[in-house]
Amino acid sequence: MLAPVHPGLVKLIDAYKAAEGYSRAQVLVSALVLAVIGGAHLARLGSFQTRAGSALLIALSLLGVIWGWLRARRGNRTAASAIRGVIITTQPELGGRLLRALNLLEKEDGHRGESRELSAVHFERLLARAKLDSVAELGKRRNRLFSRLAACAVAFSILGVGVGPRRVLEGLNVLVAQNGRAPVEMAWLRGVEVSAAPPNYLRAGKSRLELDSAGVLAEGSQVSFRGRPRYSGRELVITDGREQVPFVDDGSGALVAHWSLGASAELRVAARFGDVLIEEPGRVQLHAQPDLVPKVRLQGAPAELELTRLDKLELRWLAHDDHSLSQVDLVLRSAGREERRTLERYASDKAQGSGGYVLYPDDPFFKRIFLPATIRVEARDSDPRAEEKWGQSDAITIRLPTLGQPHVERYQALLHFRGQLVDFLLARLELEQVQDPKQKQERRRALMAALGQLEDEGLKALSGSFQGLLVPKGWTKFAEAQLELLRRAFERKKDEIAATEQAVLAVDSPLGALSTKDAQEVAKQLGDVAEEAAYGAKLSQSPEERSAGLERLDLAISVLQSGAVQLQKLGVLGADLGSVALSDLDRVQRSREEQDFLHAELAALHMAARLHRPNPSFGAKGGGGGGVESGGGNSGGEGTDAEGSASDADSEFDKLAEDLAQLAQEHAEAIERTGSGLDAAKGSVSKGDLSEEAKRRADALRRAAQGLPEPGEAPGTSRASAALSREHAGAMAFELERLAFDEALESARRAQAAAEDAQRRGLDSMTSRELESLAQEVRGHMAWAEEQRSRLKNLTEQAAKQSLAEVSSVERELAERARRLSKEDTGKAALPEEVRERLSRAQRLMEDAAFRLSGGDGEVGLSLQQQAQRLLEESDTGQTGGEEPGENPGESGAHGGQKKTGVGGDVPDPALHNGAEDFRRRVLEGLGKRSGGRLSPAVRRYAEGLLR
Amino acid sequence: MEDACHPPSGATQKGCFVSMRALRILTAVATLGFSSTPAHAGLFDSVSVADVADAITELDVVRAAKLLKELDPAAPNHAFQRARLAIYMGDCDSAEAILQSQTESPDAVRLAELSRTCARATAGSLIVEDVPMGVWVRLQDSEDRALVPYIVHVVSEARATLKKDLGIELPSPLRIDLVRDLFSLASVSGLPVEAAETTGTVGIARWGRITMLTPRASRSGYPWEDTLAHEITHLVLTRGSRDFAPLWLQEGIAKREEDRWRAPRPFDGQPSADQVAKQALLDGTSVGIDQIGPSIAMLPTPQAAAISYAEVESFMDYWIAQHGTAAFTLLLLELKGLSTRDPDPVMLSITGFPLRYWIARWQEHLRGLPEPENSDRASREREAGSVVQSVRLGDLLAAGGKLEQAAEYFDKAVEQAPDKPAVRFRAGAARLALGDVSGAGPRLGGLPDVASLHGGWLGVLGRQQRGAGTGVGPDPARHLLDLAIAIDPLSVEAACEGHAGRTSRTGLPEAEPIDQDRKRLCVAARKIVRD
Repeated sequence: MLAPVHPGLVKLIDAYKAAEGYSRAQVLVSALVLAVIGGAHLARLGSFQTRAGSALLIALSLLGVIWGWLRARRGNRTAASAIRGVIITTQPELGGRLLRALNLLEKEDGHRGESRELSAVHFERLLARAKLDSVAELGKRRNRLFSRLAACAVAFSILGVGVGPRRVLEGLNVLVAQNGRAPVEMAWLRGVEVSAAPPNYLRAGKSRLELDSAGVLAEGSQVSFRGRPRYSGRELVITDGREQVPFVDDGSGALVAHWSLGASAELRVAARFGDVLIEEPGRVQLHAQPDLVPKVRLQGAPAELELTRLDKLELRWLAHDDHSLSQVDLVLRSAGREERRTLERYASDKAQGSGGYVLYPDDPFFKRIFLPATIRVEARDSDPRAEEKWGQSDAITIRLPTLGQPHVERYQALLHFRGQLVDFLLARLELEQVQDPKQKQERRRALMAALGQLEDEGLKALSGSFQGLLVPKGWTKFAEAQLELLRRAFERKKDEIAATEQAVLAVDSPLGALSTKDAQEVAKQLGDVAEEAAYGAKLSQSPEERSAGLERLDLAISVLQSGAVQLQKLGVLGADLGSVALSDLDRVQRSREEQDFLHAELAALHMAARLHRPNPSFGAKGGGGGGVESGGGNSGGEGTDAEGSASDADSEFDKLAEDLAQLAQEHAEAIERTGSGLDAAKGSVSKGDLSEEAKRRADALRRAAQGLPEPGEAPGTSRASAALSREHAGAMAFELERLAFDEALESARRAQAAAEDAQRRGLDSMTSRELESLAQEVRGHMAWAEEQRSRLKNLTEQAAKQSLAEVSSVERELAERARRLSKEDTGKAALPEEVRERLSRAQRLMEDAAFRLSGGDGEVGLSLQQQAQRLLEESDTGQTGGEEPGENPGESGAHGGQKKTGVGGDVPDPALHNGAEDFRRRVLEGLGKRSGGRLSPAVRRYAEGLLR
Repeated sequence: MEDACHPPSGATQKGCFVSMRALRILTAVATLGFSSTPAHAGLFDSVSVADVADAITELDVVRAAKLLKELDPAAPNHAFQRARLAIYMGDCDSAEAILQSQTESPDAVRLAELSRTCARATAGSLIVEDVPMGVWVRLQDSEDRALVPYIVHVVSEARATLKKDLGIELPSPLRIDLVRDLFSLASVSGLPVEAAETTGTVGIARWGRITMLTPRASRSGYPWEDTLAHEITHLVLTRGSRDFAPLWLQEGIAKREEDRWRAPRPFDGQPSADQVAKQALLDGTSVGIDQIGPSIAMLPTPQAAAISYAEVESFMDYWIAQHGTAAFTLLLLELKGLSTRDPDPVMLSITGFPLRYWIARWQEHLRGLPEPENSDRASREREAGSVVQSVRLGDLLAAGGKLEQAAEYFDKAVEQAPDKPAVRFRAGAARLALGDVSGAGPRLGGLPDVASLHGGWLGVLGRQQRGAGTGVGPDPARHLLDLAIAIDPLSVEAACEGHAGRTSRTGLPEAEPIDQDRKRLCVAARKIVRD
């Protein structure tokens, strides 16, 4: 139990308090104020550490004040505390003794026998020794000390506020910030202007925005804030709460910041203090409107179409963008292949575009693919911010024919034709069994009708297209010639069965070669698909690309499966290669089913390599079967199984076709020689002083025409005819100056005709006289021109005689070859009648040409040669295994012995041969002439060919 | 280096010399002892790469694998030998993986390329192993599974015969790659595909395996059983001589052994190797015994290849006739022992004369043989044209269902070429299809009527002769049907015992073979799409 404070002691305490006064409280309060101001400055730095330090400082100060207050309130409630607080400080020895005495006094019942009364007396005596003055002095000293401390704190506080009273507020604001944002908004800028500029490619003007407003802007717009800072030294930014863009000095004392609007945002100005922002009250609410991907509509899409059923595919498209388009492409895709064709490019603003495009089934893209193709129209946005921003239409999917199906259909059509011939043979064999003459005659009539049907419908069926594939022209011509041979035999009524057998075997023979060629072609295409399968399997090995890889692999496998089945239908080699393909495919599929994509890839690669080398699986080159390693021929099978070509009619026909092509080629060269000879002769003939005389006459003509009406008169009037006559006379003058007498004479005739027409329609007397005068002038010059032309022609023919004689003998030899070809009939093969007829006509023309050329009549001879050449070219039959033009554009080339004319041939080496240069020179000369000329028939033929 | 010899006290220098000599002799004896079996690591030697290489060459892949484990992995060519062993075991994938980084040695590069093509050609193939019989068959075309029992039978017979004839036994399993085409044969074996196509190679023994074309690759089959036996002989010779046997010896013995594993068959030895060799010698078309080059399969033409085969077979027959089989076995041992491909030292030691002497003697022998009968080749060729025409017309009519008229054309062809079994087959089959069983017999004829064998003909003939057996001795029908399988196992008529389709002309189901193996073969044959 505490001893009550002794009255003496109370007196001492009161004396002390009176001397100390309130200085202790003053110092605590002023320290707290100083801590708050200092803490605000510290917190303004904005980092976590400084804000935590500041908070700690202020909290400690506050605790100090509370502690002081509590202590003052409690006072010296016990004697011991009073002794410690007042006496020990001034009289340490006495204080100690007092405490011990107090200790004795406070013990209950005195353990060691001491008397409570005696202890109280002892305490009283000691207390009496305490000096009141010393205690009062202590109180005064402390009063002075505390007052000074408080004054210092107040002084520092004033200084802290004086440096920047706003800083203190900012610091306190920062101190209490939450999530990096101060609770109290503060203004930082004055005269704030907000403007927005849309992206440049939109070509739109700037707009002003108000603070505390909302607006809709294009995505990518630049939002600019400009204003004068209220306080210097603050780091100001624009913020949407996440991102910040700092203000920069605009050089005129204002601050500016640009915000690129990537997404909707509420923008505010703020000052940044370390990690904390103190925002302005004003804000701008902006909604970013994105530039949408263009929308493209393709008429008819989505759709699935069969390529084989398409004549053409008309694509109509419409593209639209919310701002502008820059490009529109047609995009063709198949498996890994992609081909883009630019349909439109837009240089300026174009928010909408439309157009059309036509795709044909023989488009090169379709020829290179084997998996379904998708066709889309894609439009590109003009937005330069995005790398590629394409909008695409729905797709039109083009399903391709099963790989090899066109070849199979063509082959089966040919087999059908052969089958019809076999039926014909059967019918002829059965005719032998018929004894009744009447019935026999009836059967025979039916037989001839069947033959006629074969010649008409049978051949017609071969002239169609088999999903874009044609029967080679040579094959049809060959079949036609065989049917003609057959008909002749039936007309002779001799060796009919032998002739029919011959025809069957002849038609059968080239089928093997054709099916072999087709099988090789289809096998190579399948090889490409197998490569695709391998690639799909390779992709499937990577977990990231497995889905895409499997899709490609499975698609390729399905194409391989159906293609291999088709391949098996293409003759002996087709059956062999198809079986190999199915066997290899089995390995691919087995691996694929076991998810063993590595081996699926390896097997597919082997399959691709094998099919790209479409040779028979077995046997030695040059025949003879296999068996090297173990004597296949010794004890074994028969090897060839009684195979071999049963007819060589196709080879004989191909030889004839080759000879014919060769003949046409050599004859074209003979024409070249004739032309060159004439050109050289013309060049060598001297025209002497004709130029001067021709110029004089041309001037006279122009003078005579001067008085006539100018062009521009009402059509169909006499004056228009007179004007026309004047024009033709002018043309004649021009040709005379060029010494082109043929052309001058042609112009003269036209001038005369126009003059006659004008006179007939009636003219005024003056014009009539002028026109009559011109006509006379023209007649005079015509006579001179005729004379000169004849003289030059004679001179030219004289000069060309030698070379023309040489060409003549060549021409005669070629005519003989044409005759032989037209008559050639080996009994097994001949050219078709129509071709033979043309050849006969060509032969006659060639003989005439040879005669004319030998007589030096070069122009006429050349003309006849050109007519003959035309017939020879029309006679070209092609070979039984030849490609049709356009059938395989990448491989166009030689037909038999013809020279290669394929696209992309070698560039002639000018050092080795100047043929190309000669040709170019001749074309230029030919084009330089106004009309006619030696090349004109060739040009005409070329034009006709184009038209055909 | 000088030998150090420090004699103990009291011993003379001579004694030291004697003991040194004794040591050297002992070392030499030990070396000789081990060198006679160099593939075995000596007691005091560590395993060398050569030991591994020899073990692989001798087809002892188990020992080679064991030696490889003991071989220091840092030894030169360690990876190469590992890859080689993998190839010998048919594991081209592993070989490719091992050799991926081996680009410094040309051999490794070549082997890597082979591994690559082989891995592609065999990926996803079906492997069938008959463990008790020690045969491992990898089928590129899984449909060839039906052939496996027949392959196993040939391997078993040929193995036993070769062990008896040459005294060499093949380890198990014997690995066979049955491939679908020449391209795959080249891919798996490493033979250039152009060479394979030029000479029409049907089988090859390389890399410790046999790579053989499936009979389905050919439209009318080929004597695949003899091919298999021929290639097995190559493996045996490689093992027996550690691949030191020269090519003429290899091929000559392989030709000699290819039909010794079975009972004689019609037309065995026709045309006679002696006669072909003699004709080539006289015509100047002889290839030459020691002028074959790297392989018969790489000769420029199939004709040259055929002549070369005949020459080496004839020569080996002559040589063995002169010296006996024992001399031949010794020849192989000597080649292996001397580790040389030069035959002269071995020939000299065994016969006393070099190879060229024996070639000259053989040529002399050939010249002394009687002249072969003159065949009327020109007239046969003239006839061939009309035969082909008749056959073709018959085929076309038959394909159109006009069997009666087709049969007449076939009959005409039989008259023109009675020795052609393919023609007789068509004529007989057409008659059978028409239900004219009695008419089919004369058109089919018999073995004495034909000049060669044809699978379909043998099948139909076997069907015809079923039940004609006396019950004593071999069944002639069975013999013919077995012969058909030997020639063209996947011909429907051969595989299905003379029954072409699944249903007869009357619409009733055709009889199927009772034997399960043959039934499976029949099913496989009927699946084949034919033009």
